[in-house]
Amino acid sequence: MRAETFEFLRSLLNTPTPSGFEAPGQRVWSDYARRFANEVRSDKYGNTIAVVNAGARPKIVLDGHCDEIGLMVKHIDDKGFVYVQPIGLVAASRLPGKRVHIHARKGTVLGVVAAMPPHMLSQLPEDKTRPPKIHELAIDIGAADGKAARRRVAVGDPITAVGDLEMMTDDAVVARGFDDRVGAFAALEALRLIAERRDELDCCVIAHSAVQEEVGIFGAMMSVFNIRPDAAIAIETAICSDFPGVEAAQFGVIALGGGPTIYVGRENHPEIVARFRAQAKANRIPLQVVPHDTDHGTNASSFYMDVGGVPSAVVGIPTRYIHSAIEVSTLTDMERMARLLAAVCLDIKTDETFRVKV
Amino acid sequence: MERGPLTFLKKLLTTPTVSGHEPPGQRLWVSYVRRYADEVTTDSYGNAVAVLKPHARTKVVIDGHIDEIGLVVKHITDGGFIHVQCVGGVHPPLLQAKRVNIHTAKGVVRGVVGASGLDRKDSAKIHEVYIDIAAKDGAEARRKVAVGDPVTLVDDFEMINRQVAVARAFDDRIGAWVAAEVIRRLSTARARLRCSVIATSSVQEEVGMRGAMMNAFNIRPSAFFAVDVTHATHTPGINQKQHGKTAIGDGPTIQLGRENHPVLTRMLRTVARRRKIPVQVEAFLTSGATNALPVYSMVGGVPCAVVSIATRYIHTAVEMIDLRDADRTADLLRALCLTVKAGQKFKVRV
Repeated sequence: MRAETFEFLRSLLNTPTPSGFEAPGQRVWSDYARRFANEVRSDKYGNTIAVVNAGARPKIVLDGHCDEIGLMVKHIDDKGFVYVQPIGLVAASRLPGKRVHIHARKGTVLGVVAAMPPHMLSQLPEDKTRPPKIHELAIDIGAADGKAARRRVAVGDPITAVGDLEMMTDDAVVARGFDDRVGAFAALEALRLIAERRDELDCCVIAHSAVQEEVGIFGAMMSVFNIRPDAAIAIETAICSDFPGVEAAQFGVIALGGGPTIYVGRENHPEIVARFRAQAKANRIPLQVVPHDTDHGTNASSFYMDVGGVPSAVVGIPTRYIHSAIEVSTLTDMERMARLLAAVCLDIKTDETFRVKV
Repeated sequence: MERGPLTFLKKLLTTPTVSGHEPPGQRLWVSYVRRYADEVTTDSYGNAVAVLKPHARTKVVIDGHIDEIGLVVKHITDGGFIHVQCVGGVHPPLLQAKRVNIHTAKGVVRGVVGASGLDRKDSAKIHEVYIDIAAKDGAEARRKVAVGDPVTLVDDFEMINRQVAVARAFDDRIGAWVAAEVIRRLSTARARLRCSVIATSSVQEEVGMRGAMMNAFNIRPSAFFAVDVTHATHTPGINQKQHGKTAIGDGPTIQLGRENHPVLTRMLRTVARRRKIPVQVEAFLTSGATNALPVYSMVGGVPCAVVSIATRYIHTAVEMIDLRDADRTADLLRALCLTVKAGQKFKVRV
């Protein structure tokens, strides 16, 4: 991966962006975008777009969401312990024993999620040893008492787990919140590749870094109304199923490093899916084809429904251990995704439309 | 609280406004606010909108929902007993052994929700609850009430002490009261206003925030303040680690995160500090919602903020608030409106 691109990836991933608090991440994204996009602008809640070939039709949106899951300070007790509520889908059982950053008004405060030592656990009754619920977690910021704690943190402060980006090999990489900063990264990288071949481009391409997906795809709802795209691609993390404990019969096989995924069915418009398959083949990019996830939504759910039907599709960058502080992905699949998105966009002709043939 | 506004509040609280049957309360609201607003209109479903300075570019909406939870007659048995369904988040076990008013076309019919030592159910479902109007039989009952008639509990407004009041459904007639009061309190400062202030008394919040969604589409607000109730947690049995710390009498509550736009919440806190209005802070709701939740993602994004009045025992017949919190909420929003600049837009700075 070229150094500038890797630096953008690292900077974006290391910036805390829990839903509702994305601005610092959007600034990193915008700074990178300004190097090659014609226009970069944001809306009332911080959704940010970068445009190449404004005015051309069709208008294609490449979307990733800039927000990550996190926690929010709900209550500070008189002993100085901090209690929280989730921002997005957080697994409470994974948090005891983790370090966290509370993003307070005066700066970052380090905390730890209290964890019962095993010596005590073995002596407690069963109901005290079951996995905790979110409101049963306590964050210790080393404060002497409640008064001291309230001088440093406040109700409403957002919180992220500590987990900066680190390489495991020269390809595998671990970080907090690949979901879905890696999608916002890939959308913009694709735009950069497209901008390099601007003279070959017939359509308008808009890279979109959405806010507040994790709490209910709200940012996408705002943007689809404002942009009215002719087609929209949501770039997400694909939930890898290739680690111990996961049954293929239940979850299929999505392999780390096995290439970008494309989903089929429901919001995934067959014409768009066909384009991705054709371009993957033509450019020798391995593609993992996967049935749509019946349990979870993505920004594409809003794109395809909310303004009368926008042809959409979801594509994914294979990542293990989603919604933990140790998400694992590969640089190879990130680059393959950017190349594939660019190829699909460059192949689109002026005024092309996507329709299910009846 | 001043006499006139208090009288208006009492009248509003003692008027039935079950979701979908808001007109009796809406008429009171409209006739109160008409004296102070430049324009008052209603829409196809009965939302009422009162505007100061309709032609200003920046449109600040102050919203309270006038509807309350209640019941609606579902079935009248041959024995003359009445079965109901819920309108909004009613907790059926809490209905038992209560007096009710059935609001029929010909007037109010009084009944009781039957329950005694012999047939009381501790976890009654709504269809296991019935209303007794002492009719001889089904024929007599059907002469008096009809399927579709709305039903409210009888409990009305009273003061418990000099500051604290108890009533059925402060949720959210108190919010509609605040919206009207902001118009009244601004009407004398109209010359200083640089924005359009739009009070909305919205319908059908309890069944899915519907009225506010209609208003958002029709008005396209620049900013939308949802004034609603929030759970006071200072009573026995509520875990503050789980539900946060909010108390009646500690001032209006400001919410942070998700739909609560950072520019608006910062303005609220600044204005509160300058006017020395005590405020409480809570995290965005993970259970329950206000009109701001669907509105903020509509029509391309509407900057929203929720301002709440701490209330004990929400969705029961004994909701309890400190009247000073309602007064301070109206004052806070009035002061905020006066700080809005001409043509101001509210944007997250990237």
